[in-house]
Amino acid sequence: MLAAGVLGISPFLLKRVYLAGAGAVVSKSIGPVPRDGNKNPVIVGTDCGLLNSMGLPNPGVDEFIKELEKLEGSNIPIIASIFGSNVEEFELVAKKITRLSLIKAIEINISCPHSEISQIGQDPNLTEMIVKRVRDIVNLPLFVKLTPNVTNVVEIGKSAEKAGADALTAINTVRAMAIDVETAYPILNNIYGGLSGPAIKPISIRIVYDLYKSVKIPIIGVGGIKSWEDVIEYFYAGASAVQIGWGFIQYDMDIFYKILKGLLEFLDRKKINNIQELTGKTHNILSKS
Amino acid sequence: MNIIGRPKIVKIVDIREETSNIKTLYFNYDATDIRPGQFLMIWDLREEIPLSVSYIGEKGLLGISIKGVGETTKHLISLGKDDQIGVRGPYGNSFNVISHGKALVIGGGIGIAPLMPLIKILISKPEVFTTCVIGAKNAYDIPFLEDLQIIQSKFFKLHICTDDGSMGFHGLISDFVSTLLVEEDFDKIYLCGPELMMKKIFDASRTKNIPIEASLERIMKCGIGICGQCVIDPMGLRVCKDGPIFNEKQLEKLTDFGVHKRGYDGSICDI
Repeated sequence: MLAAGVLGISPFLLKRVYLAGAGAVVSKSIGPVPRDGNKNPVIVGTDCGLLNSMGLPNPGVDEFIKELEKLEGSNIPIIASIFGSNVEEFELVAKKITRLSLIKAIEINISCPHSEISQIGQDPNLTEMIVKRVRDIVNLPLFVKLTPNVTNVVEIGKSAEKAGADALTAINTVRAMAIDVETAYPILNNIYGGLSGPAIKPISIRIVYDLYKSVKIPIIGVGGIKSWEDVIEYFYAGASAVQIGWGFIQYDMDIFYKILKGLLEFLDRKKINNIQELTGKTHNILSKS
Repeated sequence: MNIIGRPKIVKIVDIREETSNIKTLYFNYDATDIRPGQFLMIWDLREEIPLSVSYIGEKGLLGISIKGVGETTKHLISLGKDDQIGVRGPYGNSFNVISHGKALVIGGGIGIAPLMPLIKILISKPEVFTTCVIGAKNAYDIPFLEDLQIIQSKFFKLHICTDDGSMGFHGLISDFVSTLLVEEDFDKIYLCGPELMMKKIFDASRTKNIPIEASLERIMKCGIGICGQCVIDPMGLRVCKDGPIFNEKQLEKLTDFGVHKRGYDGSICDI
C-alpha cells in the first residue's frame, strides 16, 4: 500500500500510484476543516532518512470528498487517513468520508509527532475512546496508526484492539530535529519534525515484533521500506501487509514493480505459495527452539 | 542523501538589479550537472521557496532572479553581498535543447529568467535560429533587456512587447505571438511567464502543431515529489518532479493548466 502522507492530496495522483502497482493507496490525513500546514522548510534530508514537518495540510473533509467524487466508479481501493483534535472531529470526518464507496477502509491517525494531536497516540485511554467512537459509526475496516514516540507502544496497540480496531499500522515517524551548522538555525520552520526512512526501520521492526506477541489483529508494517527484503523482514516480525513511503523517494512510481518483482522471485525460490505464510515467522522459529 | 538534500549555506557574492523590484543574486553552489529549466529550493533562514536558475556560470557560479512580490521574495531582494542563504537542489527536469531549426523563446515578465540559460545554449548552436519575445507592463519592468539586446544577430532576433506601448509592440505578448505564429514557422517553442499568457500561446500554437515546452510553477513544499502539493491534474503530474518543464502532449491533457491550482491547504482554486 502507499503510506499516508505521500502524494495523497490529489485523488488523481492517488490513481496514478495505484496504476503503478500499489495494492491500495492511503490518502493524506484529512481533518474536519482546511489546514495550510506549516511554512517551509518542511523537509530535510538526513544520512539515512528524512525529516518532515508538513503539519497535516489538507483541504478539509468536505473539499476532499468533492474531489474524490471525481474518481467514483473507478474502483481504486482508497484508505482514508483521518485525524481530528478531539473525539467529535474524528467522528465527523469518519462519518462524512465513509459515505463514498471508493473508501475501503479508515486509518485513524493519532500519531503525527509534529502537530498538537500527538497526545492522543501517547495516551491509551484517549486512544481507546476515539477508536471506540469511530468504530461505532464506521462499518469499514478500521486501522489505527501508532506513534513510536511513547514508552510502551504495545499498551497503545492493545487499547486500540480492545476498542475494536481491525488492524494496527506501525509505525508513524519518530520525533526528530535538524540544525544547520553554519547558522545554528533549526532547519525545519516548525523546529520539530518526524523522521522516516532507513534510520527508523529497525525501530519499526522491533515494534511490529512486540505488537505481534500481544495483539491478535493483523499488523501493517511501515517505516523505511525500499526493497523486497525490507518487506520480508516486516512479515517475519509479524506484519500481514506493508505500506511504502520511503521507497518512493528513491524509485518514484517504479517502487511497486521493483518490490513485487523481488518478492515474487523470493517466494518462488523458497517455494512459498502465499506470502501470508511468512507473517510472524521469526516468532515461530523462536518458540520452537 | 543527495536526492533529498539539506540546505547548503552559501554567501551571496554579487547582486545585480534587473528592474526596480527584480534582483539577481549570485552565489557559488556545487551542482555539476545543473541544466536550464531546473530549480533550487532557496532558504532565507525564515522560509523556503522554489526558484529557477537564471544564470549558470563557470566553476559553480549560479544566479537566481527574484521579483519581490511576497514576504520571502521581498526579503531575498533586500539581502546584500556576503549575506547567507540556504540552497538545496537542483530539482526538476530541464528543457530539451534543439540542435537545429527555428526556436521561439517567449518570456513574460520575470518568466524570461529560467529561459536565460537556455538562450545561452541556443545561441551557441550554429544551426539554430532563435526568435525571442519578451515583455512586461512597461520598458522599465523588463528584466535582462540589455543582455538580450546586445546578443542580437542573424541567429538571434528579439521582439519586445509592453502593455503601455513604451517600447516595441503595444499590447500583450500573447497577441503579438498569435500574429507571429501565423506569419512565421517555428520548430520549437519554449515558454515561461504568467500561466494565462502561456495557456493562450499554447492554444494558438496548436493549429500548427508546434512542439512546445512550458515551464510551470505551483506552490511547493517538499520539492522532491513526495508530498503532492504541486500536482497538476488530471494526470497527477508533479511540477517539482515530473516538471517544471511540460511538453505539448502533457499540456493537452492537463485540464488544470491555465485554469486551476492548489492552495497551501491543497484545495483547488482558480488561477
